[in-house]
Amino acid sequence: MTKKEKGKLGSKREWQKRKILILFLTIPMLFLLYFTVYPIITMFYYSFTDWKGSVSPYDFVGIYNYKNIFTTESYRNVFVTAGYYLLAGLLQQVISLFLAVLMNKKLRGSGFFKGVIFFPFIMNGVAVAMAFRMFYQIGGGLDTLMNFAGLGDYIKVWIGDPKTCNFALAFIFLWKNVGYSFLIYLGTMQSISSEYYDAAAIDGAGAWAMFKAITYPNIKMIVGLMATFSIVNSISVFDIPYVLTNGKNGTNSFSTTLIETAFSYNKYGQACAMAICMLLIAAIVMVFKNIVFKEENENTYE
Amino acid sequence: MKKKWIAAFMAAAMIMTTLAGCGSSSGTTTDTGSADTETQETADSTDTATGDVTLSLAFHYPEDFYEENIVPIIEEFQKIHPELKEVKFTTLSGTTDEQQVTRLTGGQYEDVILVPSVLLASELPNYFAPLGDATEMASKYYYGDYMQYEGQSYGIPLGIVYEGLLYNKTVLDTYCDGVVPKTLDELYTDLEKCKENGITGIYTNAGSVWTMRYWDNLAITMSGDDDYANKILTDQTPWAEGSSLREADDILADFAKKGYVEPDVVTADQWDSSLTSLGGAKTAFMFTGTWALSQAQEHAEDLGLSADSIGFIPFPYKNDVSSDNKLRMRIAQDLFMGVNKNSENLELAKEFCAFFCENISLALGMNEIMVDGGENQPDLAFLQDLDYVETYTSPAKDAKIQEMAGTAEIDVYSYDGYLLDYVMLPVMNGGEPQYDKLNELWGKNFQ
Repeated sequence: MTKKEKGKLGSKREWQKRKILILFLTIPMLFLLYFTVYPIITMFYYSFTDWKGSVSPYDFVGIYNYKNIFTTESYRNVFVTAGYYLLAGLLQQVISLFLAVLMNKKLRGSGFFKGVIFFPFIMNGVAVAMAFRMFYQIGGGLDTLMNFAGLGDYIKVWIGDPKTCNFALAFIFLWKNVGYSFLIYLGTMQSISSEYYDAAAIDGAGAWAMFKAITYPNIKMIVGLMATFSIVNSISVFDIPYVLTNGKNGTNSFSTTLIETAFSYNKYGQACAMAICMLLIAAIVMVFKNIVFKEENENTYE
Repeated sequence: MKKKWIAAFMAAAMIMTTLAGCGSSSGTTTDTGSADTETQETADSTDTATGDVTLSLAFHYPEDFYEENIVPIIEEFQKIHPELKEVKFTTLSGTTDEQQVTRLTGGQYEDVILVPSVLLASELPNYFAPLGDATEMASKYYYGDYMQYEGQSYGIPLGIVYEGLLYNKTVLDTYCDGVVPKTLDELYTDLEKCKENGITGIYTNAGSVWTMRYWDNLAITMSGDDDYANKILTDQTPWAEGSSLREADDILADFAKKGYVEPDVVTADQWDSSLTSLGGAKTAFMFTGTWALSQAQEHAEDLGLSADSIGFIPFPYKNDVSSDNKLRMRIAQDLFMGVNKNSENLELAKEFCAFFCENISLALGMNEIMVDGGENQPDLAFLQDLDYVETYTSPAKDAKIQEMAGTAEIDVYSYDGYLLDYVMLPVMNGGEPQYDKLNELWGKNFQ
């Protein structure tokens, strides 16, 4: 009897709680649906049409737009471009992991170094691209540095040369984002209890052994997450090629091509298909990451 | 229980969003309807009410230009229309064409506004009010019929310019024996001498894309047919051997191949660097419109040369030049101003738009747009005395060119960004211009 009453009371209070929750959630949910879900659904719908923008009439063209992405040469090039950024993204993980391990030790002036490493990430992307434009221009920062180091013979027209152009741009991507993954890695490492390291030190473990047996297993999940991010980012990179080259000279990324297709050539349907394709790639990478790392997660508890 | 709640909530949310969608679209249609009637009411009532009408204006020059050059025009206009209280100014300086289109689609834009050049002609009536019959406008203004759709004109040009070469006299005097080229051979000799002396012969600015648009217009000039651009509508291979388009592009390819152009043609937005280079006697020529003359002169003065050191000549595209076989030079349109079709003071906005365009040209470094009695830039008066030069205007480009350009993804007769990808870069990397590829892409329009 008492138990039942208690249950009733509890459910009443729970109902009250739920009512508040729903009230508070309604407005943000409406915003989310209207500004995120609804546009995506509309975009999906338009991706099957030859919509030319605003109120002009359109026809359904089936999967023609999707087929185009893989059969048109200038569109296909975005995957090549993404390769350069992916390379930079993976290199970025290695470098930032290395820096994070260094900074995790009690170094003198580590606060200063942390600031220096993180600073590029909080800078505006366009500003970074502008700064690098001066760095790469003929007689600019890089040329001066190379002359100083006696490498003057190897100087190229960095942005103008198709062989170096994508590397030059991908380097900016690497430089800008190292700070971000560095911060995430460092944060995770600092949450590892120092007792493990103390115990390992007593057992006589070296730095590499400590990293392999203590640090890495603890940050494995984050490594996976950051790798996923770098894949997704490498596909959607926008500000760097847009500001520096307008996507010319083989540097067009998914985003710059999408903008050009929609706004310069008025092929909104095609652009919607590209956006959906980008979304799908991101989703696939995420799902793949979840499968791979979930299994490993279970293994660690066995 | 829980699930039911979520389901009900989701359903409600979905219904609300769909309704919201309907609401907004039907809302806009009624809005435009009422705006039209309101316009008429206000247009009628403006005669009695004084000093309470506000217009807004947006175009691509920065704020300080407004104080100096636009305010006097507004004051003049207020003398005719005392009911106008003020004109609010928004600068579009630093916004791209794409952003300008986004502003238009957003629905909140100024009464009198720059027409983005990437907008399809068929889209014009969706945002802009018709300003009059196209042929009538053409008889009144140079290029008055350029922004036309179905016989109605939707834009008035800000000014007109000549297309040709800006050059640095100091460079030509120092390295090229002072020869100002009158023929193509003379131009080549000058460029070769510049190259030998480590001077950039011609700064193409290809990375900026919009700066390339003069090359396709050169094809119109070379063809001798004022309506040459519209021939592309029926031409399946516009870049075929011997076509003017190919000949014009070949000159560019040749310049690129021989290393007369600036070393980095890819880096975007080099406009200011190119002016500095020309003004500072590091570059001999630039192929552009006369609107850039005053800018280049300013740069030259800042860099310690006199403004006189920057001059202008028609592009010498042929060798046989005399008073019998004249060098043609295109009078070019520049950007256009349009009127917001939902403006609350439509008639006044239309009048202001025309008044503004008629009076702003000289301040922008361009010639005035009136066919009768338009004033020219004083610096360019000498061109009319040259007996070997004749000027021409080309008829409006068909709106279909833009659509076909979209299908082929070649921005021909627009910004000409394709020249970098298909003509300059292949040549600079040791290949040949990809005219076959261009023809193939254009052929997509005829499949």
